[in-house]
Amino acid sequence: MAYIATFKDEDFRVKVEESKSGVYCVRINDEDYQVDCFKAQENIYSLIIDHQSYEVDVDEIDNDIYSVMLKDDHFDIQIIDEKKKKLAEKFTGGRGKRQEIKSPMAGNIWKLLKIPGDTVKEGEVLIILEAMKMENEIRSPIEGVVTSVEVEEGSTVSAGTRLCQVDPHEK
Amino acid sequence: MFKKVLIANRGEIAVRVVRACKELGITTVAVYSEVDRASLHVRVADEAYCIGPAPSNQSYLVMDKIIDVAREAKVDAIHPGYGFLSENADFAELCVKNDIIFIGPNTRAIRIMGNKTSSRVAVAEMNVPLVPGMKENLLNEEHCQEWAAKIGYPLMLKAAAGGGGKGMRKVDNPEGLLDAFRATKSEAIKSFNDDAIYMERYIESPRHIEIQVLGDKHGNMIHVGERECSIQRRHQKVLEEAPSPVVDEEMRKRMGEAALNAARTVNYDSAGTVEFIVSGESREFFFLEMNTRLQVEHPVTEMVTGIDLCKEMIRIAAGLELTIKQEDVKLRGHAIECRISAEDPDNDFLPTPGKIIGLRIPGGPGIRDESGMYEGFEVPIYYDPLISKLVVWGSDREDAIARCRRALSEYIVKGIKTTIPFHARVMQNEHFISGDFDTDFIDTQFNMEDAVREHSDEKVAMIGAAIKAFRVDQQNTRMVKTTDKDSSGLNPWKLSGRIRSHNNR
Repeated sequence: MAYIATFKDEDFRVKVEESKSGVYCVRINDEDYQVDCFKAQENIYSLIIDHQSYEVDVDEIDNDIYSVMLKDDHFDIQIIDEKKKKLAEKFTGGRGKRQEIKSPMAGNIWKLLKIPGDTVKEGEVLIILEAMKMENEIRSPIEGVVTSVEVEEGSTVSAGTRLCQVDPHEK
Repeated sequence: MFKKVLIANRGEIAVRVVRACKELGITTVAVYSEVDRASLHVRVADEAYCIGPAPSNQSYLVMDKIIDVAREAKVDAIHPGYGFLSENADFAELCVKNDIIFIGPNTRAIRIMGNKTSSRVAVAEMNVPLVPGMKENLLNEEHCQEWAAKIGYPLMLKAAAGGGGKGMRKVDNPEGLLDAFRATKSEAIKSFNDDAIYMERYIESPRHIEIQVLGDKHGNMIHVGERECSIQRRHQKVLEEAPSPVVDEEMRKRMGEAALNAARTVNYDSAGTVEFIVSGESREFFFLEMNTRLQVEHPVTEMVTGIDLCKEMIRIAAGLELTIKQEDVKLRGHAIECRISAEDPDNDFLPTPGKIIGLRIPGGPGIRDESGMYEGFEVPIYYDPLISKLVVWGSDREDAIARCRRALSEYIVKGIKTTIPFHARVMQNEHFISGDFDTDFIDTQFNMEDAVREHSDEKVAMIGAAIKAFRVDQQNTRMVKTTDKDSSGLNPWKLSGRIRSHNNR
């Protein structure tokens, strides 16, 4: 299977093949890795690569977004099917297109600062979400117009709930 | 001694107080909000009463409800923990009125020390060094400009009713003064319902070091050494240690004396903490505030002194005399506490409420777990994100750091992100290791160093993620193939997406 992995805005071409049960050949760009992978627990893989032993904790936190814990470090990596990525880019990708704003975490909608029809700048605060005694600002990723708001003040949302939608200005 | 005590708190501190009570043979009563039914403190207590809906102003902060439960359960005393009602003099008075003992100091001590300007006036009379500045509140903008000219820049504006690092602002130059004056005032009224603010000098490269004191109702009072609390994020402590790497025996003695003098001004009769700001350059120390409760970080003092502060606090409230003499207090070794929070350290510490689906607590020599969570517990969205404290003891600071690293590497919390990786990286930082840091360290230097850290294992992480994606795809292909035969008329591409999202919830 061929994938595009994105980490810190950088794309990598990744190919995975299972050479025999539990042993994978992974190619990242032009480098090959022979990986012995044992699933120790749900989401926890023990990897042996060139006799180095690693324990990685891999969660799919959103469609195609993987959160990986490894030693003292944490990585958010997008792994997407090469074909799907091309398809997706054609329809929704890029900052020039409609942006669906989803809640990054569970919380309460404390304040709605924008209503449909409002124009917003990139980085402008749309919604304030309250969770665990903290106010968290949800900002617009692009400049444009708020075309819908799908939550009410005081309502409780979970991570991934659609909050609102921002369309770029008509060109 | 008390027969029955109500704990007016939740989470890890409520569990801590239950433990102390059990060791003293006291029956414990927990209170909980509707969302806290499954909380650990409810499970470990002998009795439990629901006190209302999730928001704390409808449950943990409602004094009458707590008093009602206390009367119904016929308790002798109430332990308030920290936060919530712990420094509320009205609540302490209400307890007294209802013949219930408030496990804390006398109400006058809470009132005076609860206000920065009144506490400054009180301790100045005992010659406790103050941060140079005002002992009254600012009247208006002209008054503010007058004082700014006297004190000089940079300076600090602080809410009189503030505390715990909230309601303060640094002002670097005259241009920013009046804006800061208005902003601090409006923040003060919003956060503390009191718009009184005052001004003091900004101490360069400040360290935050505090002294633990214990006083009883018979006039005995001792101090039990200091805690270093300079590792802070946005003025909130995240990691504490005892002793401080910059305090020697002579300085400890002077700070201890100053703390006792401050506590004597209010006849302090419980466990309490006198906070000082210490100049990183001159090592001069100045009184900041006194916290009239048990602190989050009390365990580090317990680890190096062998004194159970929580039990002492309960014994004192029951009227018993302090049995520990000043000369009996000896510091042994070094202790570090890491506050483990439900926050994402790689995403600006955004809160991460949710269900803990896997948990491995570190063990082995010198490890103490102060946890309010368990596997299967859902961290609610309504309260402070602190879910646990990892406390380690070592024979010296170096040993404690090594042990802390080892313990953090064993610690696994699955289901939500926590600050464990943040602590692990602090333990590797050379400025932390050398003891060379101030209260701005995390927000400035560490963050910069941390942001550019080498992700040396990024390829390994990518391999792990790619194999997972591959396995999910393989599984879905198999499932789509079997469901295809049902010819339900669904587009297999769409179905694959749906199966996939089910699999991963």
